[in-house]
Parts: sequence; structure tokens; C-alpha cells
Amino acid sequence: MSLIKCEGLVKKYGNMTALSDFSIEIPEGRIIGILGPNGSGKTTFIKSLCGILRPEAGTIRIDGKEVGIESKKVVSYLPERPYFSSAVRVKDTLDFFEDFYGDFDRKTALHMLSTLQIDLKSKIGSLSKGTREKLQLVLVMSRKAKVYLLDEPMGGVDPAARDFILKTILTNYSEDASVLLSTHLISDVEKVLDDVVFIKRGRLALHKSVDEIRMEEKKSVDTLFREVFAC
Amino acid sequence: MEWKFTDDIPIYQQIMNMLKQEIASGELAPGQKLPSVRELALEAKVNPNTMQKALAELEREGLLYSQRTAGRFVAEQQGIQDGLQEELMMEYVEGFLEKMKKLGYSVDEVIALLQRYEGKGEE
Amino acid sequence: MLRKLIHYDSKVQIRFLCGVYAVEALLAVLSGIFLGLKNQFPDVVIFVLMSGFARAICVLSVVVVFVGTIIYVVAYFRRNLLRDEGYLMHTLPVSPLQLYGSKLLTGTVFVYLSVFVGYLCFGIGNLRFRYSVLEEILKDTADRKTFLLMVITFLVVVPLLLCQFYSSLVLGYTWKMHSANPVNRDLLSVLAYIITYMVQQALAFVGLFGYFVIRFGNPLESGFLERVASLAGKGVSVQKEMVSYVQGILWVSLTLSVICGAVLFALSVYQLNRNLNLE
Repeated sequence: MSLIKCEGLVKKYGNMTALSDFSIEIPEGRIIGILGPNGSGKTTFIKSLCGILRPEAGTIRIDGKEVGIESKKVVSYLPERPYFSSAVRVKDTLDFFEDFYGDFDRKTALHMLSTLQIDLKSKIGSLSKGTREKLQLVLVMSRKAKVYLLDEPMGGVDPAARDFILKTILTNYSEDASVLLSTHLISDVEKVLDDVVFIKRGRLALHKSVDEIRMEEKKSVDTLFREVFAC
Repeated sequence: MEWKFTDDIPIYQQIMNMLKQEIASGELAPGQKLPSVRELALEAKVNPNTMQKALAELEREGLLYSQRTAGRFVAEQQGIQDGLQEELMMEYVEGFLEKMKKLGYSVDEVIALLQRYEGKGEE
Repeated sequence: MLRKLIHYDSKVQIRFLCGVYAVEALLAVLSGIFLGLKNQFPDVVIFVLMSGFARAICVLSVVVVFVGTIIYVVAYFRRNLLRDEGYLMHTLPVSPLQLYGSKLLTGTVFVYLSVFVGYLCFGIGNLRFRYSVLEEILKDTADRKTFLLMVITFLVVVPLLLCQFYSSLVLGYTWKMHSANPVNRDLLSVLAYIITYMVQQALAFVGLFGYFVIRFGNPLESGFLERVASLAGKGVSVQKEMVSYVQGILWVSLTLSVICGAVLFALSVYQLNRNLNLE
């Protein structure tokens, strides 16, 4: 049984179609890149999986469950946005995650935060944008979830931070869980991915492993991406 | 160990090549214990499944062996290392001669070039 | 989970409110002090002036805090559930019913708290707690019933009012877009509030008219004017009529409001479930 199974997803915003008859199956233990230009439907797809967007048609099963309270217990989502208010302290965010998520591992989080030298007592508002993003990543990855959804974690972040993100994903790797990471900075990320999914205008354009692409097309995913999505 | 990857071949093959070089040169000694898949993947910044695939292939080729709880080790037989050196040497030579042929040199011209190069080095 | 949400919402909102209450209390104490000084030394001009000024500020602060609490609580709802923080809240393993419910419960409690703190500050600022009126009302049974009804109405009005604001925000923010153009969702919420308000007023009118007809019979039948005129007459029995009529109106209004509130609540939760679309 696949970890994530979507069939016939349709999502429209007025007369614009974000997802059109989108179907995909994702097994456990994979790190998957969701690639596509802006507006292709990547974020819509990810948001549908976490339950903050409901598609007009189609079904989603996460670990066999429908999207709802039970699925949210096993899905860990990192949005592009900052989602804590500035007045909150770092320590409070740990308490919050621990309170609401049974799978949160405080020790892992504390360890990562000390590596990043983030003071627990500091207020979110006093942290730089990059540090705030790293904090959110730490919180999300410190959960022992089955599905990790990272929406553009690398956008606007310096190379050292990108390295940290990839390292965290690799360290956290588990055979029972899968990581879905949407990005357009493919060359950085390619070595870390098992499979890639290309979404073009709301449809599934490609779903292959990185190895397959290199062997069949004799090019990197980055190069193939440029070809598939050429303007 | 320097992990450098190129775009055109699958990563697991590149990992295999790099590890073969290390074994052939002796940097990875016979019988030496390898770090875990996870540790190697983290070090090389690659997907753990990819690393696993590379190591499994090397195991299949007899260059590595694994013991259930102890982990993975470099093969002990001396013959393996020599065989690998031979294999890699042939690969490099073939690759080199290909490139030289493309430039328009015959094998004899290449030999002369090499002698000249070595002579220069002695001066 | 609901308890955890309530705990979290309380913690955040109380931090702000405590600061506000502290200032309000300070102003009340100052007012009280100046009033005391004025009473002790009625000839000192400065005390008279300051007392008047301080008392005015104190009363103003009570009103501002009350209104401000409602505004803050509604703004917190919007910030926490419909803006960036919504990305966190709506991905928690809780239902929208619990999210909304927690805000409604904590918001209501904090508005009551503001009323209570306001009452205390008003008393301190004026150096007198007015409960003599209360005593008089409680002496008479009929008046007591009406008073009870008014208390119930007050208790219910607060959550209903918050429900209206919260629901208008939700309806505005979950309105399905028919074009890809960005729209100001706060404006949509204001529009939603206006529409739901008008609908409720219309329903109230219909409801009260219906009650009126039940009480006094068909307006087109004979004897109608006499029945209405009987209310204006003098005498104890007529007074009782009047009181029961007023009570009736209050009951009808109350019931209608509660029904409208419940409908808005259910509609909002449904919308949060089905049509949430955070920016």
C-alpha cells in the first residue's frame, strides 16, 4: 500500500485550473522532489495533502487515511510562510509542538537548535528571516511523522543554510517515512532525491527516479527540467 | 574523502567508481570497516537509497562484504585489490587513448609523446 | 485537544489584556485618589480640577477597554486562523469546530472579564459601588424575573456578538473566488457582516411581528386596537400585562438571536472545512 495515493485531483480557482485530473502514488522511504515552475500546481498539491485546501474532485489517502485529523497527526508541513507570531519565544514553539504533536522529539529539536546557536529565550521577532526559517525546519523535522511536506524550503536562503536543510533531511531519513520537497533550485537538491515529479500546468508531467532519468536521458534532472519547461 | 559528482551518469555509479578508486589505491584497506550507509550518505550529501544501491552493487561485485550486525567491510583478498587496479588502469588507459585518438594521434605518436613528457620531467 | 487550544488561546490573549487592565486599574486608582483628596479638601481648586479630569479619564478607559477587548479578540481570531498563523493552526490534528469553539469560549470569557474589571475600576474611581439599584430590583418578584431575563440576555449577547464577527470574517475569507484576481478579503468580511446583520434584522422583524400578532390577534380583525390600547391603561394588572409583554419580546429576540448564532456558527465551521484557502 502506498504511503500517499491521489486519484483524479481537481482544484480550480475561478476559471484558472491549478490541478487537473492529477493522480500519483508515493511509496514509503523516499525523498521526492516536486518540481515545476511557479503556478504549476506544486503548492496546491502540497496544500491538498496537508488539508488546508480541499480539492473539488478526486481522492487523497495518506497512510490509508482520508485527509483529516488522523492524517494530520502523521503529516509534518513546512510552509513557505512564517507561522508564529513575533511575540512568541523559541521555547514556546517547542512547548507548542510537544503539546499538539505526539510524535515530536524535543531532544532532537534542542540538539539542532544548539548546533544553530539559537537562544531558546529569544523572541521570534528578534530572529533574522533565515534563522526563523531554520527554526521552523527544525520543528518540522523533529517530528517522527510519516510524511514530511516541505514547500520551497530553499527559496531565498543562503548556500550554507541550504546545506543545513539537506543535511537535516538526510539525517532524519527513515524507511517508514517519505519527504516531499518542492523547489526550483534543482541542481542543489538532485543528489539527495530518490525520485522527481514534474508538474506542468496542473498535470503530472513526469514521475521517475533520478537514476532512471540519468540512465535513459543521459542528462541531469536539472537539464531535463529546463527542456521540459522551456518557455 | 572528496565527493564530487557530475551530471551525466547516475549518482550510484559515480559513488561506485569513487569507492573503487579508494580500494584500488589502498586508501580503503582490505578488511577495513566502512561507515554506515546513513553516515556515508550524509558525508557525500546523497540520498541514502542511492548510497545503499552503490554499496550493494560493490558487494555483488565482491569488493565489499557485509556481516549482519557488524556492518560492511572491504574485501580481504589481495587479489581483489590487484584485480581492481588492473580494471581501473585499463579504464583510464582506454579513456586516455580515446581522447588522444579524437585529437588525431595514433598509438605510436602517443607513446612518443609520453616518452618526451617523461624526458622533460627528468630535466 | 480542545482544552489544549483553550489553554493556548488564553495564554496569548491574557498577555495583552493584563497590560490593558493594569493601565485601566492605575487610572481608576488615580481617579479614586483625586476624588478622595477633593472630598477631604473641597476648597483646593487643583484637587477639584484633577478629580474631574481623572474621573473622566477613568470612565473613558472603562469604555475603551470594553470596546477594545471585543476588537482585540476579533482581531486575534482573524490573525490566528485566517492569516499566516493559520498555516500552523489548520495543520494541527484538530477540527475547525475546535479551533472556532476555543476562540469563542476564550473570547467570551475575556469580554466578561473586561466588564467585571470595568465595574471594579468604575467603583474604585468613583469611590462607590452602585448596587442599591440592584437591591431594589431583586425585592420585587416580577422585576426579578425580568432582571433575570436581562442577565441571561446579556450573557448570551456577548458570545452571539462575537459569533457574528467571527463568522463574518470566516465567510469573507472563504468566499469562493470566481476569478483569479486578488480581492481584499477583509472588505468581503465587512460585506458579509452587513448582509448577515440585515438578514437577522429582517428575521427579528418578522419574528417580533409574529409575536405581536400572537399576543394581540390578527390586526385585521375587530377589537385589535382595543387590545393594544389596553396596554396603555393604568392599574396593577395592566402593569403586569406590560411586564409579561416585555418579557415575551425579550424571549422572542433571544431565541431568534440564538438560532441565528447557531446557524452562523455551523455555516462558518462548514466553510472552514470545505473552502479554506489561506493566502
